Amino acid sequence: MRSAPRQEPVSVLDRILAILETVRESHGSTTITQLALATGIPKSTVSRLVGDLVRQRYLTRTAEGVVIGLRLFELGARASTPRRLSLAALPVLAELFNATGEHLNVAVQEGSEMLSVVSVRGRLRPAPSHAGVRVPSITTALGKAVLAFTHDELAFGSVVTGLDLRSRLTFEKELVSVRTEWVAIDRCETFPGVVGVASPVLSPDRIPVAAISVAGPVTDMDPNRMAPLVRHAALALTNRLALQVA
Amino acid sequence: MSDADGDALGVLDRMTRILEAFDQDDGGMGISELALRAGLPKSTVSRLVGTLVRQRYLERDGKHIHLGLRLFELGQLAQQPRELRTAALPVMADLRNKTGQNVHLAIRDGHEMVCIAVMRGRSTTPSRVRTGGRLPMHATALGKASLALASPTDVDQVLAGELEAWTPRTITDRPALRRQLADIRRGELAAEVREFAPDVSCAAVPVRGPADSVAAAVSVSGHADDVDPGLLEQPLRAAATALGLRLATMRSTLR
Repeated sequence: MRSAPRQEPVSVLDRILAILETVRESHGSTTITQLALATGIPKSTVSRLVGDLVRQRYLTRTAEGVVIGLRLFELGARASTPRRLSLAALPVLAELFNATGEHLNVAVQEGSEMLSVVSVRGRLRPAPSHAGVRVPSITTALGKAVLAFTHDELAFGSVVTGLDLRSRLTFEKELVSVRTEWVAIDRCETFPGVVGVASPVLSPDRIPVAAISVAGPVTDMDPNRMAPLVRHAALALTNRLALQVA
Repeated sequence: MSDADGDALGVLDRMTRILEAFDQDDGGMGISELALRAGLPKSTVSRLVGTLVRQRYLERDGKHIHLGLRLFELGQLAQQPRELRTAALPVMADLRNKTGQNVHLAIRDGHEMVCIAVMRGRSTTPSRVRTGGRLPMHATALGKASLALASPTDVDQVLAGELEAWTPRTITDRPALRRQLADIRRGELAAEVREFAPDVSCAAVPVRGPADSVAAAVSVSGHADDVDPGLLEQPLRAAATALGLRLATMRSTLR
């Protein structure tokens, strides 16, 4: 059941996580009142839990309310997947940046979106995404590169759920060509004037674990010229990750 | 079985113990080891881990548990580190290119420093300090640079705590530390010679924020035989000034 406010979280841990999730979604300062409204938790309880979260440095108070605190920054820097991926990706990204000079991302699937774990700034201003930012799977090259190779029916379903039959068939046809070419393209579908080219990064058992992308201005970046470079980078990252595991 | 009847701080404390059980070299661990490190009963850990995995604060890979993607995402949103990093990265790259050594950016949090960004130099001594890592104030140049500009009561409070000896060279003598802080206040470079790691030396400068506050500290560190604080002073001070200006510009464009 989805309704706003969401089903009221019952256990203390669920309530704590619901508060943190709401602060995340607000992308800035949130007040106790807003948190109570969004989570359905009584205001007095929110106030007490936020006090505890501030004391333990998960949140920080500002003039406007609360924001994400330093403890989450510290813990987040130790998270396994982004650490492992960026460690393996940095030399690959450096080489790809030298070859292209464009905006680069390595992203992983997160529900029906792609979450950037490491990015390099190119000439796009403002940069369309950076580490920690989510972009929609259905329109981005990153998302399509992973979806074309995924075995996760559930994740696939959640992405295409809003499409009518005709759009869904067009989309699946596009994914067939991604599987042949090993490259997905986003022609200004997500950000106006921005074209993206991405290729999947696979685990040793051929499950897509990430995608790597190049993005640039549509007026000036030829996706066909980028395709082999991105494919090469994704393959290099796939191999480096396999080495890490071994 | 619900933890709703337990008091809130209890649950949060347990969550913190579980999350903090994962150190910087996150190789992952099973429930038993996690329970041991967190100092909690296995059944409690098992139940909390179930929820934390569902919410992606933790992730399971076979029997191993790691810190998860949601923590990374939340951490990237932390405003202060993000703004500082954005402003600092070009300045840090420039400083790294000029010195060839490891460059760190840290901010103060309570009685410790938190490393916000690391840029590796050509130095053969890999930095032990990682982004998100915590550093003691008394044993690091970053900490001394920041503490030197703190109020006298603030300095008293930090020095009243335990001063751990990280190496045989760590200064744990309070009067000696106070003399160093006074020298730094008078304009000397904050430095540390093999005081935090046996082979590493470091020099640091504070970065000014609005109204003369200390926004951060920047350091250059490398193998103790290669680091000459005298040669580092000019590039470090230039970097601190450049970063202070960039922060001020960023703030004024945000307002």
